[in-house]
Amino acid sequence: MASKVETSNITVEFVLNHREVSIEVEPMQSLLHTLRVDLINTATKEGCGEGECGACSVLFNGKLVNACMLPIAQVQGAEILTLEGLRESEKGQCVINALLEAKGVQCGFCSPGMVLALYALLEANSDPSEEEIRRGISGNLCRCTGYGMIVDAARIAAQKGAQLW
Amino acid sequence: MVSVYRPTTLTEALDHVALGNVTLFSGGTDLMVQHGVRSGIAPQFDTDVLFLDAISELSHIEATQDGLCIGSECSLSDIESDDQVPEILRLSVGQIAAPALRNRATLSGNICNASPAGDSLPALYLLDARLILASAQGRREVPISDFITGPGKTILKADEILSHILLPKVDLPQLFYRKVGTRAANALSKLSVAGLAKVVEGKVVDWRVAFGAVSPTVVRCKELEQLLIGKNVAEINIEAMVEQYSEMIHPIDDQRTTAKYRHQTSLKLLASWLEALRDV
Repeated sequence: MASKVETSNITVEFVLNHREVSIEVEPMQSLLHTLRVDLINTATKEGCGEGECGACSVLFNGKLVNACMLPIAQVQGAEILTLEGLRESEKGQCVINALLEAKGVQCGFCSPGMVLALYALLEANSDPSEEEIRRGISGNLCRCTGYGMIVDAARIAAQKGAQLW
Repeated sequence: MVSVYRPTTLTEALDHVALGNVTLFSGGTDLMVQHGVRSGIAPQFDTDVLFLDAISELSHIEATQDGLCIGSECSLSDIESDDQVPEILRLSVGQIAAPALRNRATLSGNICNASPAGDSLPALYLLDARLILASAQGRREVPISDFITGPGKTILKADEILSHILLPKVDLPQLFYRKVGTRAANALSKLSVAGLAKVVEGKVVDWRVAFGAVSPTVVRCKELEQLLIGKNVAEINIEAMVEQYSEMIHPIDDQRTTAKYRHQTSLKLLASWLEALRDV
């Protein structure tokens, strides 16, 4: 086994859900670990831990990213939006309600990441086609729904929130 | 004690690499996995880490007199969504992983990883991409086919950073791209075939093909391509071309598929690319 190499802690300042955060952390630890363990923001889930499943999707300066693969040092000065912040907004509520209406939540583990992915999709494209929806959520695995209900949710959110997007 | 640096200018970054023994880190989507990020555990790096993602001068795609200049910190999403970028490259990067990953991963990372299955590479070989390697001493420009020397191997020196990717202007309106993977998203390629051509009034003015994930590096053969130039599309002997390329493709068995499947499928795709020319 390779010997463990120590990394000195650094101070990272960023904006989490519209609030400024300053934290002393190991620079290579993931944003996901920082959110869940250091900041006790546990809406963002850990699935695979290597960028394949999308359970840890968050917005980084408005762009969808996998929080498990983002070292916290790269978050210095950035704006992060997680489900905790998004659900406070009208757009966030629109996506959440659409998922509930379409029965796109079963076990719920993928749902926080899925809400962020649907939000990112609709922010970029207010009237996506089915193919665009499927492409938008292609990095978010769901083992319950078979995706059909989540695609429906995207359509509902686009229609019901027509004035929002 | 390992330290991390996140400079905002190329000059600062080059001063750091001049000291040697640092890991260059852009989007990190491969590095984090390679260095063992997992639940509750930070990835372990045994050298200092130099983050390049905050260098804004490397985050632009600019048209130049000779073509296009892509900064090394542009994400795959930046490339996918910019209509100045040749379509063959946009198509290729658009099939890498999934949106969240493409928002962080970079084209320069895909190049420097030098994976035989790097999906941007066949398009870059077809486009005769050139790379700018910067160091504190100056810069050199090399064709991508000279840069990658084997799986995971490049000629990048310890004090250099790949700063820009240059794409010469081309007028090649016909294109072909097939990535064969287990699923549409988040799958590494079993193999890929990319083609570009210009056919005017049934005559081949230019024709190119490149194969990914079937040899240690991308397979492109300019000598074989020359055989088609000037030919009438109806005269192309598809079987003979397939036979010639068959000799050049040396795939391996691995966890994704077999050598036999890679060999056969890439040649079938070559045949369909040649057939497609007849419909132009």
